Amino acid sequence: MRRVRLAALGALVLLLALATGLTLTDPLSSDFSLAAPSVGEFPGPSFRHPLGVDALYRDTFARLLHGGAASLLVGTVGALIAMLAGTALGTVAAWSHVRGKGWADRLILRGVDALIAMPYLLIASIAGVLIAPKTPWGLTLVLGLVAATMPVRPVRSDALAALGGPVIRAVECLGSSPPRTLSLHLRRLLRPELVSLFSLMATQMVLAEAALGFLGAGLGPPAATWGRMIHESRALWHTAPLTLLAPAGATFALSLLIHQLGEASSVASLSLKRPPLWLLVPAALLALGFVPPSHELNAPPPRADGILRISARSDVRDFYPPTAHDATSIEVNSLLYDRFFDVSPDGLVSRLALSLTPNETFTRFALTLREGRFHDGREFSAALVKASVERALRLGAQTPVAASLRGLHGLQAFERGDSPEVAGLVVDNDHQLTWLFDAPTPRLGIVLASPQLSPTCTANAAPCGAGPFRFVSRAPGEAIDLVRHTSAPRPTPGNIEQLRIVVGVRPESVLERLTRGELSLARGMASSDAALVLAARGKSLQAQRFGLASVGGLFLNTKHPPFDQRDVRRALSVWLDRERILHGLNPLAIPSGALIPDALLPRSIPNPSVSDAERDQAKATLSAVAPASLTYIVPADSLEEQIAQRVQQRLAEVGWTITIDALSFAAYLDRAGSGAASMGSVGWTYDVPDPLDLMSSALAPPAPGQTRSQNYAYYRSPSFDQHLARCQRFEAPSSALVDCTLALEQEVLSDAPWVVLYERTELMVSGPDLIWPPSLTFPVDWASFQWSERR
Amino acid sequence: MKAFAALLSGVVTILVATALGTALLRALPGDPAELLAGPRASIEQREAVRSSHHLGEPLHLEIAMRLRGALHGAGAGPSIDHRDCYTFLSGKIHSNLGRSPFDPRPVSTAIAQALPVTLRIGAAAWLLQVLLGIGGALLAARVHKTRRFVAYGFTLILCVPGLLIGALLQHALAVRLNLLPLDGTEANAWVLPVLTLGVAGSVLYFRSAFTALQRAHRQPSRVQLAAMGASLGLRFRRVDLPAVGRAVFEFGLVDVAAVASGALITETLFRQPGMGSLASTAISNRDAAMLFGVLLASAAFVVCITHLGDAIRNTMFRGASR
Repeated sequence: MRRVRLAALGALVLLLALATGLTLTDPLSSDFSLAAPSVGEFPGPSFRHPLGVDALYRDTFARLLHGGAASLLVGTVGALIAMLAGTALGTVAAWSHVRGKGWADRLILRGVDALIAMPYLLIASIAGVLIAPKTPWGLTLVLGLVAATMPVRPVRSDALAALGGPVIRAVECLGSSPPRTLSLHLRRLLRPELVSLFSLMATQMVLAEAALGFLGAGLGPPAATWGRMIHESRALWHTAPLTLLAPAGATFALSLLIHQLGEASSVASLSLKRPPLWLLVPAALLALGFVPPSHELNAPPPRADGILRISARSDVRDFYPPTAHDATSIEVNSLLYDRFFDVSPDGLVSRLALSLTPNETFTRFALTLREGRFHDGREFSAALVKASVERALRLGAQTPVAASLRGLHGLQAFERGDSPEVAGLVVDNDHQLTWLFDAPTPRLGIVLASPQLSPTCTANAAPCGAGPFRFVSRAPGEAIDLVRHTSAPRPTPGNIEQLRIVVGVRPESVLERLTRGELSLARGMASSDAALVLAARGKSLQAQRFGLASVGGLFLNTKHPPFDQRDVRRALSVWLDRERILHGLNPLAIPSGALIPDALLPRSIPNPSVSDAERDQAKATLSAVAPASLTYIVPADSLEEQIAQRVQQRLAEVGWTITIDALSFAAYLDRAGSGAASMGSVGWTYDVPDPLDLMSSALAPPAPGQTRSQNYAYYRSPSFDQHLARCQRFEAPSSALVDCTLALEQEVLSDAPWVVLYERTELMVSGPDLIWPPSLTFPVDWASFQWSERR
Repeated sequence: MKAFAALLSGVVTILVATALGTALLRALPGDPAELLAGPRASIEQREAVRSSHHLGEPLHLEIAMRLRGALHGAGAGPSIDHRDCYTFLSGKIHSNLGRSPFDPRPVSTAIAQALPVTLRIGAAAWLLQVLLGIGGALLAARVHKTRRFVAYGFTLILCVPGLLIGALLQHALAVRLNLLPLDGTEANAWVLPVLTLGVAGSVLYFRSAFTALQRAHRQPSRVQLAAMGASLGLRFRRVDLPAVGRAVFEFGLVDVAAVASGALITETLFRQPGMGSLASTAISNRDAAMLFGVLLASAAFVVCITHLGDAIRNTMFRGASR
């Protein structure tokens, strides 16, 4: 009894502390002052933040308290829901077995057995994803209802024993009605077992909440639940372990408390004496051993097999260049399918094509091809290249490159199906293809540098092109293996014979894998690791930071209110303070509001700063139209998700309620393309050095719908279209094109279908055994890397 | 009669899983065909999915057709598209669970490739759970001084989130000591998930084995054997072992679904390409087709194992009691 009193007292103290803490702390506000000293490194515990802060500089202690309230709710109310339903079913089944004809018993048992055969966490996750609870109450209901079958069999078993016992027989003889017998006398008899079962259920509920949060099926960001905190701490486990240990330890402590309460109240306890508290000592030591590893960066051990192992965060979505549009697909495809040209400030650089010779009016071009073979062994000929281009053009709006070739002679007849081939593509000989246009097309060189036109052997079959690497195998979600194509038309200098792209590698493990030799080169690492590398540069590892020609921010769906109003979009772009949003997040993301990155178009005048008056005006506009709720889609566990939470905080200041929907990258792409989201994160990497690329490929094509356009903002503007067409008439590169492009950029910024927040750079690290090419751009040309002789 | 009840229960489980998947698909806002084919599928692709999944048919017909697609013979009629089928028994039996918009493989093929990984991890973890559970129970039952220590040790394990056990093991054995790979598919990458799942799931085996041992110690036959001067080994073989074996076996049958639940966490944590990872990816992709397939396959698998176990128990323990 003393233990019950003590445990109850402990629970009371916990509740009081929780209630006090809840009123005094805010789990959502960030302390940006902590981000100042060094980006990416996490400040440890302090007086103001006794458990430190998370990646967004939110107080871990405050989040822990609020998460505790949610976990307690899920544990107690969820278990209560499950117990109420399960006890009712169990007692009815037992009653039916003993007193009735037993059909209800059989029915209930068959149903329960059927449901119990399905893994609880899987069902709970599916329910969590489909119902998408927004509050802890919703999550409680989901977990409670899904668990309702669990207590049925134990309760039935105990009830069967009790119903056959003398007490129930006696009260029945005294005239107790069946409902009274079940609800009063049987309940009293079963109380110890029910309490014990309740504590076990509550413990499992608390753990299930943590598991669901870890899987990303619980409450979404920025909710402060322990499961969510564990999920968000994944990127920091090895550098800031307190972010994991705090919520996981709290989950453990609450589960233990609930369990002890149940054990103390149960006669079935295994050990009725005082628990050996010293057992907690090794557990604490184990947790203390979870300290960050020493910040020494070691070069990876050289591997004798000669395979270049690189990582990619997401898997390849599309192996067909005309329709591939995500960064991983474009990068891997660039190895399998080479392009006709590269573009440099001095003009075209030969890749698969040797030259492109226009006539004076830019309506006729002779494309001379290199000699070599496709991956399937066929000769790299003009006829096969023509067939490849026609396959791409047959996709119409599904590939952005089709819009750039609108003036190709005979294209419309080909698209209508009136002609089996494009009349404007003429095979002169095995290695020369002539392009005929109805109107001057001075930018054909840049179009031919686009990866979407890279020659392919066949459509939608096994990947087959004329790139420096040949496809060998792919295990979805694991790795893609490529081997060097020795008869590729374009000779490449590297001696990398095989390439393995390990997909789905989480950022926090990238650097660790490099130092263990599992990767030959690290990139896309967690921000804390990037900071570590930047600080330790020049030691045994070689590191290089390079401009990706990549911008990121958010799109505003112009179909959805309030973003159908230009003033609101403009006000939002003014109100979002880039410096503040990006402050301390990732050293590789540099605040910028320009659509065309500096790496591509260095400008003499920096971006104009926003005045206080403009910001006040924007605040007034946004406050006046504050919508009920908007959904903001982002790829989960990414810089974009962190940015989304900061945007959410910033917009909360003007009364906007934003719901963040964190999805896998693949699901994010699909959702963005479907037009269902009001807003979402968006990024653009210029895979050709053409300043018009984003405008012509992502903002000019018609709205996505069933096409593969990336006009996620559903942006339409006749003035923009005319302006773009004018720019596309200029030869590239030329100063006239630069002036026209800058003016076009201003027009888009003014219309604000996109709000650009940052320019992205990439950091790559490898051991000394790898010789890098002199310059790096996106997509990285892995074929030009080399192993050093001393391997 | 028992076999019939077991068969009926299995059929009910599969029906419930199918009905649940179908009902959830229908309950969601929007077009189920769009959900299955992905929002950017063309009208033709969407119509193909509608036709192949029998969407728009009455609920009972849709469920029946789904079940038929999930398991049918090579000679099944033209209503089933055999291109997406995974085949067993030299092509005589087919399974078609449709296609996912997020995975290049048909759902049946993805599941068939993932299942062996989960089976390997699950079986090894189950063995570890049983060994740890029985070992702990024997220690607690035999050596009284250790009872409290062992019981509370297991209680602590019960209350620790499984993923924390995994994270600690990963940090200690992979990051710090560099004994094992962090995750992935390398030769011994399965050890960490097995350890995690094995330790986390051992508690309930300990409890059932310990309770069985306590009961066995009070059995008249054991007391009689002790009075007759039978050795400890003989008493253990004659009374304790069958009692523990039966208890662990009974519990193991119920625990198959729990091991599958645990696989969801451990495979995700350690990037093992099993059913758990497949489900976890499908959850983050909001991939209804794959989730439905994994749910159905898990339920079918659990039912098969449970009934196989039932049959073994009926044979083995009936003989033992004689």
